[in-house]
Amino acid sequence: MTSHHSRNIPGVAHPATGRKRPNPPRHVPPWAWAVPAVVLVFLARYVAAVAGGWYAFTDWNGLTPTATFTGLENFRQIFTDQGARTALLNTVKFAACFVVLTNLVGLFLAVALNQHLRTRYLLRTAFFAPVVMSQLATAFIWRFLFDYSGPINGALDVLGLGALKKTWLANPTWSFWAVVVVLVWQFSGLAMVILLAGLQGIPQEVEEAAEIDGASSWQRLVRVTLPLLAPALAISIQLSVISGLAIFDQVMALTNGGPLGATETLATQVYKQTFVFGRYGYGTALALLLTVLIAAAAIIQQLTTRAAERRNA
Amino acid sequence: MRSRKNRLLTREIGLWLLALIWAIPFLFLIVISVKPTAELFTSALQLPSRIDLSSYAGAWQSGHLGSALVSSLIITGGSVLGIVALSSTAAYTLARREGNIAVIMGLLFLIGIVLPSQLGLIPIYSLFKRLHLLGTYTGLILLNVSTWLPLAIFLYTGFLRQLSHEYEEAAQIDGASVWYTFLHVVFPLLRPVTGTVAILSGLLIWNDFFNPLVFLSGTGKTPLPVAVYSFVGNYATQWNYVFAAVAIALVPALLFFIFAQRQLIQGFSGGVKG
Amino acid sequence: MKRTLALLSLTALLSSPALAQSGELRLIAQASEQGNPSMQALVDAFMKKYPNVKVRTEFFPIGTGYPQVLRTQLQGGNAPDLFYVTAGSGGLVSVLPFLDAGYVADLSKRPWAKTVIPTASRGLYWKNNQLAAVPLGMTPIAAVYNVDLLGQLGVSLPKTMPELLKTCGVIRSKGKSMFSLAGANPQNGGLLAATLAENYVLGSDPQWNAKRTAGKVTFAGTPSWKKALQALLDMKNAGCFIPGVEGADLPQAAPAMASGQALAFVIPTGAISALKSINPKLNLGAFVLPGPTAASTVLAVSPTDAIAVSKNSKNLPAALAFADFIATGGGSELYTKVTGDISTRQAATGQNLPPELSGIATALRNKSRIAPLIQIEWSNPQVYTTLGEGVQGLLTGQLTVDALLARLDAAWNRK
Repeated sequence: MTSHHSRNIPGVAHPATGRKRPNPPRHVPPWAWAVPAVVLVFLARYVAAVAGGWYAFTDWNGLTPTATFTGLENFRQIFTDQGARTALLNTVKFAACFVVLTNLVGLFLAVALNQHLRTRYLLRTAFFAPVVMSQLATAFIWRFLFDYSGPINGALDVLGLGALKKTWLANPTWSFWAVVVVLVWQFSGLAMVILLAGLQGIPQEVEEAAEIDGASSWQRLVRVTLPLLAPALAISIQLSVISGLAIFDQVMALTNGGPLGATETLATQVYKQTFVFGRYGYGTALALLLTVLIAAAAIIQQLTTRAAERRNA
Repeated sequence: MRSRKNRLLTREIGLWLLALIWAIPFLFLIVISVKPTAELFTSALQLPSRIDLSSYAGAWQSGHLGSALVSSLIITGGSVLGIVALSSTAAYTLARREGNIAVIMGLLFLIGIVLPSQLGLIPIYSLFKRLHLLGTYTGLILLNVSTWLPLAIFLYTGFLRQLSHEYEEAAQIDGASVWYTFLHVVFPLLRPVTGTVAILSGLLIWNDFFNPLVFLSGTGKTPLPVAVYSFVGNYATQWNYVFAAVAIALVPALLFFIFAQRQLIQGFSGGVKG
Repeated sequence: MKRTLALLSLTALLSSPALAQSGELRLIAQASEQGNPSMQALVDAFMKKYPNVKVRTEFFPIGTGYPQVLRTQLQGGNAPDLFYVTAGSGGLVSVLPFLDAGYVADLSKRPWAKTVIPTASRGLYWKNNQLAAVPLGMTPIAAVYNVDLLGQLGVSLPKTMPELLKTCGVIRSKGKSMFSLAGANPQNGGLLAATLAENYVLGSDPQWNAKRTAGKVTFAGTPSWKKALQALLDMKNAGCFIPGVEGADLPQAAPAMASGQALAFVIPTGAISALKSINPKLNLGAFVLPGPTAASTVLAVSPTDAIAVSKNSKNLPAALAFADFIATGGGSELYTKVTGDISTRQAATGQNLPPELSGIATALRNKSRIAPLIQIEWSNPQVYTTLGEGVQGLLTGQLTVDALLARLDAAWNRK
């Protein structure tokens, strides 16, 4: 694929023509330029994570001056604890729904809003607005919407569908989907924007050529647009995998992990164990596990993307 | 041609209907924020008998939203500037240098993206206490910068790898220094990805509740998300105030998106090439 | 001007020893409503009496905000001089774990130390002959009800559980609910279960907590615990609670009570002022949540809210003066008057109560039928959270009484 930004500079030959690989520049930036970033990341993330992560191997309660080393005991407890298993399962389910649905809805919106609709900028803003809203406000307003005497059940009553009324956030089955609805509502706009950006990079001529060849709009989407959109999809999926596995705020504020663990995730468990139940060591062990899970998912995704790119190249 | 126009019109109308559904939570937010206090707990679907804007004035004054807005702008602005400055230079170094050090550094930043930040809360708090950074903008900005640097560097590096070296070479043949080349040739070319980094990290920092709560408590420097929370009580919550405050906090962020829309979309497109 | 000031401070010096203390103090607490007016009133009164001491207050959002800020500040070496805690060991900011960890100053040498805690609650504040904090007042847990609505409904207040269940049906048939309850909020759901346990468990065995701590009894093996939770299920089945109770949080439950949808709400009486702020016209009374029989009823009254002094305070004398002020300087009376709690004196005599609480006056005077809240002596915060989350499970039908009791034992026994 061409890099379109190079086309923005008039009078400069496209690098891909001429040589196969550009020569390295004669002067390279000094290492010193990277030093502040390295020091900050190392101190604030690595040293801090190790200083805090050490507690995963202790029975620290979060308060006492000393902690006893307990080896892998916390991890053993995690793997034998029913609650932790449920949380792990929910985490994966949430992440899967989050990744699939936000990207599908985002893709639909992006394709629809890439056309020359007169009000497209307004529409894009409308769908992006939830992304801007703070977690706190989102949860407040949706708790209100989902309340038993709230607008959703009220509307069902008005429509004569009173039989479908539910306590959405405390129903063992529906509470999960209620959280998913809020997640999709809030984050599809972000996927839309990332994918729109990818669509802008696809030359109009390619699509038009396909249209002239008599391809239906579905065929055009699947055969032409999607393959060209792959890099954008990869970024969007990567971001949603990382954030999907770490879902916390929405669950905490909407259902508090309930009813009875039905929406509990690893991230909410980390929080509750560490800061609510005073099991700092156990909570830290859970946090480490979650980190490994996210890192593994991110790396696998990165590798599959690279492999797919090489196949296509 | 006519049928194409019609098709676009139907599509536009359909999208507007969908947007209306998307906007339902916002409609309720506005409706509740203008309800008179006495009507707050009538029926959820009942419209207010009159539009009462006193909650906006009340929230603005008793929530100190004016100073919270200033704090939010200082914290977000300062952090984003720091992130862009440090990550663009670091990423440029990584992308233009070869060898093991560059690879190891790249890995350091990559893993930094997923490291859980909450583990380091107490060690960082103690460190800040010793450095007298607690309760200062500088401290919180440093924390924000270090939190989002890895992701920013990841995006910048990807973009830079795809960016041709030709322009830099041309500048250097003309005798420009590395610094001059970066500032006047490379950085302007990075504009799209800079937009992405600024908006993504800006949003996350603008809405951050927890770090300001812990690190700026008791200073009068607390930003909007913390101020909004001050209307939430245990048994009684001033909902019209909460939602008025939320609406006030939304405006700057939405305005930023509207103005930055083009930039943002180009930015992601640039990042996507990486 | 200067002269007047000098004169004023001179008279102050002569009339009280308050000028002996000076400097700055920092006090942190959780916010109740917009800020924390009752705590601020207490602090202002203290500063008036001790003009040379400046107390800076910081109030943090309720829920999880305050506990985490407090723990971070204590562990991060930035302890406030004074901080809000709750009694015992069963909550998120319970004081005894802070005492064990060496963060709070021992108050046992203060002149009021021996008398400030009611005998029944000594175990919530004293450990190894150390006094961990000074209570701000006494908090009864009562069914606070809407007096006008009671008249409209034409029912009378129930004295026993069977009466209560019958009353629920009558009220339901008139389109209202007997009780508001935030079933999705572990703190509020747990409070109802704990209040029932007060009647059923402590009513028949006042030493149950001590036996549980010693490992002589279990939740699952105690028939009265089964009855207490069964009573909660019975209440649900009799239609006692607001519709959608299992999904309601406090922002839904409190207005249901304040707007006349529900007759009563089992809460700490300190929340009365908050309910009134939702609906200033509300005419409130209080009654004791009934047990199986009228004679078995136990009223939960405990010195729940307290202020602890930091062990490493840089201005310990002034911080101790603040504790003195709460205990014997009129601070407790001032604070409880604002919140709707009662002072230790009011609790002891059952007299001079605010009008809302006149309904529990008789119960307050019956010393043998008063006990601290059952959960504040529990071994760790997870037990009460398990109870609160379990109440939601009972309401949704996900959990049986026996299964919940087994979970409580597991949470108690955890490492």
